[in-house]
Amino acid sequence: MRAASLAVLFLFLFTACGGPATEDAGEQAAPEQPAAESAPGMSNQIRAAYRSEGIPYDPDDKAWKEIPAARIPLSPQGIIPPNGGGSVAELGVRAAHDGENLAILLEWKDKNADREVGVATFRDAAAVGFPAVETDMLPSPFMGDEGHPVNIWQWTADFDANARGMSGFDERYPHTEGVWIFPQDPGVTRQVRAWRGTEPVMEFSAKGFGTLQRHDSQSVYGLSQHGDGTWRVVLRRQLSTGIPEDTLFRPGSATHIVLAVWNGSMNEVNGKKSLTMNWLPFELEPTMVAAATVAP
Amino acid sequence: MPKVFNWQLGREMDYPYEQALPEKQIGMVFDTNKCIACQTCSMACKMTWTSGRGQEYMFWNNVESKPYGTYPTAWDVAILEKLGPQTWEDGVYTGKTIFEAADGLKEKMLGILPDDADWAHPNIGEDQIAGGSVAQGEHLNEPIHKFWYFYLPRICNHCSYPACLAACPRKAIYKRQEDGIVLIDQSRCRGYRECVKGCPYGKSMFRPNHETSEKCVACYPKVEKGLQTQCVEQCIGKIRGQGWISLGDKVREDHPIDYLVRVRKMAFPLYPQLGLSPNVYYIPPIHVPADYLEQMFGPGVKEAQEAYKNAPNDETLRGLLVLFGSSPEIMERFEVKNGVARGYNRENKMVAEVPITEPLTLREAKDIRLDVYRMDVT
Ligand code: SF4
Ligand code: SF4
Repeated sequence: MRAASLAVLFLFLFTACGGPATEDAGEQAAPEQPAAESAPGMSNQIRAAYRSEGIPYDPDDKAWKEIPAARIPLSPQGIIPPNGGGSVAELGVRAAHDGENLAILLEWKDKNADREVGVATFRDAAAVGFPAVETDMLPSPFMGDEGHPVNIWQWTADFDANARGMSGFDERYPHTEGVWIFPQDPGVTRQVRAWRGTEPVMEFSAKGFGTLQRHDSQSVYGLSQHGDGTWRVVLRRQLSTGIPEDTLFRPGSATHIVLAVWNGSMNEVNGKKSLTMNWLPFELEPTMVAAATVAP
Repeated sequence: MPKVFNWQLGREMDYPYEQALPEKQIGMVFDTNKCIACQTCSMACKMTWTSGRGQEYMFWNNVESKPYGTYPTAWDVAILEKLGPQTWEDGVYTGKTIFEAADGLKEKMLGILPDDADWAHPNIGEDQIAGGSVAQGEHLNEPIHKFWYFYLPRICNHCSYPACLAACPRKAIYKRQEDGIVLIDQSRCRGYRECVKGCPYGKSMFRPNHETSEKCVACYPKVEKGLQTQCVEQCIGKIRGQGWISLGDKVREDHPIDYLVRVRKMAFPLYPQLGLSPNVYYIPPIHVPADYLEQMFGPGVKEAQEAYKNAPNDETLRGLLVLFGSSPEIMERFEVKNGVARGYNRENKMVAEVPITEPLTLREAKDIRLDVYRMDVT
């Protein structure tokens, strides 16, 4: 009897809440136009400017305007199936450090802010990667290789929404709250949340395709804004965390960076992404030189 | 792509990984002639595994009416259409599998990612008949029914060449060496949904609030103890038998699953042409046109239908079928002698003893002791 009435309840719920996910279907596959509006010293050199007074964290902080933006062209991923991406053609990158912390602002055009992960909907995301350790050879630009791990920071719009208390899940499936039967279920979900953390950014190591491994200790923070068809996302981390898997940044020296963007409404996830096909030099201004410029 | 041997196709085929068959392979036989779509199996599974938040839409076990029922919507017709018409010749599949038909560079297999709404109608097409419309006053007066439908209970097939496993870029899906059960490692899954798209049977499902995919786990904690899975044990119609299937040349005549699938060739994999070598085997319904069933189960259906119709004269077959649903334990051996069927567990202990024909007792119409008339005298 109980089973039968539950069956009826479930079926009712399913028919009641199954709206197709077609809001974004109108979006064209054509690459989005460049995002970084004209700023002083536009180039494809990524250089973290030294700011003795502290680094901007909020994407809306005016201080970002003073930092030159690099415009980095992105390509679709076509090396390993599932291939795809290419819906974002260019990424604007600005970076700053204050000798303690590093902040990177990523800007790209994307009409829709895809914040929801539904059964068949995907979220927007962006990631940066650095060689995790300094060796005489650079890792493969495609997520590293055995012996040359890559440190990856990935920001995702759904974690971002969760961090702000916005849950797409409750909106899309409004009648499902509280229909679970077994008391252990909320426990399992809590465990998943704890694993995920509360930040919109997750830090990983990778040694090649399919090897992404989440770090036990997470040290990257993120803030984002979406407006005028543009995502602006700031990633922030200490230059040095003391954790061996984390890339160590030194003012006045250079490392390398790779970049990737996913557009959820184009079903981009996993290997379906727009990315840089090679390592780009990533320089940090020396603390001293910048201090000299600022000094009266 | 490496070559593997797929016995269901009678030939080698392409598969993204080298052949690595498990020591034992879980196998089940479902007798579609006996299924009444009571959905007890669906609820047994749901109450056991998918009663949580984010799992509301999931039926790891579902029962759909064929030909019009599908869950997720259009799963089979959509993949068949994508694959296009294919051919068999003398029991050997000469068409392309979903691995062989894919372009290889862009995707490893043909696949379809069901939409949200596709999961929202688990009973679509229920009890809808095929074979035209029923005229006023029409009777079932032909030897072969003109109108037909049947129930198809479905779970994950714990395939020998799983597409879900092959599709996963993170190698989060694995096939267990000890029993061939296919599982998704929840700690490795990153919710890319490649397996959901890759499994042509629609049996890998995404849990949005955990951002991981989930699927039938073949009730592995029970299987490890020698017990039948929830959906097999709870089946009201006793249509299901569970055990092991031999994948090589050697087959066991005294094993219930091997006997029906390999020896008698009466139970068939679902859409073998897709190339996954699925391990749930169906005894085809005897009242359904064989050409429809051949598309679904491959060649040999007609012979199986005849053999099933001959069951009254076939003591071993009848005996084995009455053993289905007669014990919560997995029966690894059976024997039928003198009108009695016996099933034995993995320790070779008898766990079921069933007369093929229940002894008939006739009782007086009136119960004198209670002073009432009996409704039922047999
Ligand atoms: S039926 Fe689907 S989910 Fe199950 S093993 Fe086969 S491919 Fe994987
Ligand atoms: S074997 Fe177990 S998990 Fe799989 S469908 Fe049956 S009851 Fe569900």
